[in-house]
Amino acid sequence: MTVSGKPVRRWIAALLGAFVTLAPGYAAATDVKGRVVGYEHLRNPIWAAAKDPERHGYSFREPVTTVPAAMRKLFPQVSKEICVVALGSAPKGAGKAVSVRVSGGRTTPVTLVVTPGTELRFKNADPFDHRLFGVNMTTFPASNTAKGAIRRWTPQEPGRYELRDELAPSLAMWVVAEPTAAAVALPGADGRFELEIEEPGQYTLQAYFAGEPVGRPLPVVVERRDVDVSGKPLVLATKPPVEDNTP
Amino acid sequence: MIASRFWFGVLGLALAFAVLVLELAVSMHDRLGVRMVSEGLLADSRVVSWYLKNAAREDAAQLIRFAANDAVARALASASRAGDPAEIDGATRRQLKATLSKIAGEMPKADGFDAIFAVAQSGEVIAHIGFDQAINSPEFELGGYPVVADALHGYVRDDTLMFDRLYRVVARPVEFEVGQLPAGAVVGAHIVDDAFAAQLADRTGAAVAFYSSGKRLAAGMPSGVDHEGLDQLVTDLPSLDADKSYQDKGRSEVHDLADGMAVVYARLPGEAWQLGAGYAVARQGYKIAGLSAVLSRADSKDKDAVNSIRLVAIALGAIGIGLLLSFWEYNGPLARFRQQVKALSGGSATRFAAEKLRAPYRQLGLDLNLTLDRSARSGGGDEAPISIGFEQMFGEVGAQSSMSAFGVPPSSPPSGAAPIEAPGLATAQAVPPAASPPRRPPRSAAQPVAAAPAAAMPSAPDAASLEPTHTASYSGGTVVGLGSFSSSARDISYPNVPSPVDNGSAESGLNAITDDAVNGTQEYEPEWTQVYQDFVRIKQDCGEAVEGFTFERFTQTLRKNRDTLMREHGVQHVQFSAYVKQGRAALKAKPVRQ
Repeated sequence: MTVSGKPVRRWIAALLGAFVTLAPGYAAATDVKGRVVGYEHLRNPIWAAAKDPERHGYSFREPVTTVPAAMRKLFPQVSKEICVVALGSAPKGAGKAVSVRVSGGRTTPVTLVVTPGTELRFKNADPFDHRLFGVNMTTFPASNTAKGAIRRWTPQEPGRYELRDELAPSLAMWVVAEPTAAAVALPGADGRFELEIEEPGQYTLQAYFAGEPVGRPLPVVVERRDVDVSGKPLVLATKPPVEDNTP
Repeated sequence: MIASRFWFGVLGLALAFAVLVLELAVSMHDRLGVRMVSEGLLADSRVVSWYLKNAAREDAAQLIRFAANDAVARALASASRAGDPAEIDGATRRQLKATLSKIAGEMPKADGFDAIFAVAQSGEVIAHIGFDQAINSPEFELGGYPVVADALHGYVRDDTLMFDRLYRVVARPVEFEVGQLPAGAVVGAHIVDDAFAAQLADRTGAAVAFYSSGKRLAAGMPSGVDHEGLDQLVTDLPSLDADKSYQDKGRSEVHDLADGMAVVYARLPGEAWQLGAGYAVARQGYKIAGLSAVLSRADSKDKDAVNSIRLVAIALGAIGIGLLLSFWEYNGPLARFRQQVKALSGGSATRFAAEKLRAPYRQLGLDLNLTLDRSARSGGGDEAPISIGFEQMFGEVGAQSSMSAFGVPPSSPPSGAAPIEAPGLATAQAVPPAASPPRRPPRSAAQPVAAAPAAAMPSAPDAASLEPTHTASYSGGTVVGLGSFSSSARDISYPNVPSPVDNGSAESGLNAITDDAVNGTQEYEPEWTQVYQDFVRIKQDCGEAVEGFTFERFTQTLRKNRDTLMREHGVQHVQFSAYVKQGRAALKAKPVRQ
């Protein structure tokens, strides 16, 4: 399993694709392209909670009226907080180690779906310490991660894990250990994503946000050719949440 | 000395009252001080809170300089269009940083920030100044913090973030195209350090300290306030866990630290709230804590407020009254006594006029008069008989051990090991005085001598002078005890001769006894006549009544006591002498073995 971010430079991809196609006897992976929509109706739970005056997160918070009201919603940063996964029909083995950047009061990605046994490497990109820990977990206790240091952790069991930082209350990450996860991708700022599936078959595309699946799953049949399902985007949400009634 | 003693009492009461007032004043002051400190601390805490909020608003306004800058907006818009932060070229970063530095340089120093961050829509920090620790962190971003996320979504707000240090942060959006999502945000930050706290203390007048994770991070004091007092915060911080007000409302009750320091804790708004970070305002309590501290804690203003003239007047008045009373009661009588001593030594007087002297000197005069009398009787020698008082002989035996009981009847029979019985005393007292005896005029030193021998001659009774009313009968025996005289139902007193001042009367009394002596009873010692005369004279000098006080009565009592003392002490003779005790006539008995 691989995790791809914003589609890498297209010429590199084309070059690699040509190399794979021309290489005799080499089983090339299949790309599944698609996009997510409706994420503007999602709300980052951490930010939404922080705007509650009862949380004492600020002494003043005022809208800038020149920014359209529709924009003044705490929708997530789609490139960091939405995770699209292709779920297969059979469990997969542990994937390659996945690097997670810790910086700026969050992790990147914020939500990650991996197969159990996949090692996560948390790299502290901030110039100060972090102290990550798993909520209600004994396998990931609080421990300091110094500037530039990497902390490793592997979720062994399927499930949903929430990680927090004792030194940065706004930092929250959700790890979903899903045995059937075949490929994972993070959409770009425009919502487009590209999954790289190694084995042909029938898959289900599912978006995850804040550790939970969002929107309807999209079945996809992967053969030897690339698949583009952008015409049938993953709809994450169709209407804003009720809490939007408060600014 | 009554007035002087009364004055001392007045001074003592005044002193006690002054201490009472002082203690009440100290207590009231301390109580008021605690209340004022508590109210002041709560006010300080609110002022600091208001200041932080107001300062954040002003900072947000200052950020407009950056947000409204076209170069900043253009650079952030360009960076936000890049799909990958790595695609943002270095020139854009450098140009943006230069723009930030230029704008920051144009700002008044008092309005400047410690750090400025320019953040793209993705949350990546495109450029920053004043945060050098992130220079080598190309992946450094801020987009996850709610304050930055809010700015990227069109809000301006503040926060308190804990990076490597505590920061007061304010962020606002940077708009490039109207009607679109902001191109990014600018974030201004102040380091919460001693300089920040000092500026805050200077502007609010409150002593303030910031803390986080059980450590004091910074402190600022107004001028003149001790900085070390806030070091005690660290030891007191754990108590906040039990402070319900702090947990619920974010502001604690007043906490008393050592040395009279009191503090109120308040949480900082923002993420620091959840991290337990906050600030404490402190005030030095105004407790005097004891009378001794009144003087030590008074400053020059307090001392200036004291009405010195009134204090001096009170002191001089008290001293003056004391001196006046001491002069009136001590120096004046002493001067009169000295005057009489001079008159005595100069020969112009033969005795002290005790009635002209005041209490202590009157006693001295009476004693000296007695001494003069004895000296005259003993030929002018100075061999005064050595007398031993009853108290000295037998220990404290009560007021009735004194022979002054002749003048005052005892209310109950005397008791003890060696009491002096006074049989017949009540009878003597029961005799109503025929007339008030005339005051005895001062006599010359020779007079007692002349009178005494006549009275001291029991062997030569003058039958004609015997009072016929005397009916005491002789019961026989050469040596007769107390019971040897049996008084008849008739009064044995000499109503017409109550005062020995009248020599004839005194001699009549004596002669009545000497009549018994002629009959061989020998009921008194020869010197008793002189003791009797001395005793009567002293009684008169002391102003005591002598009506009904006859020599017979006198000798009866002396006999009884003599016999008792002789029996108890195995002596052959007892010498009696009259003296003045506490302003009254009294007798001393001295057992003599030989």
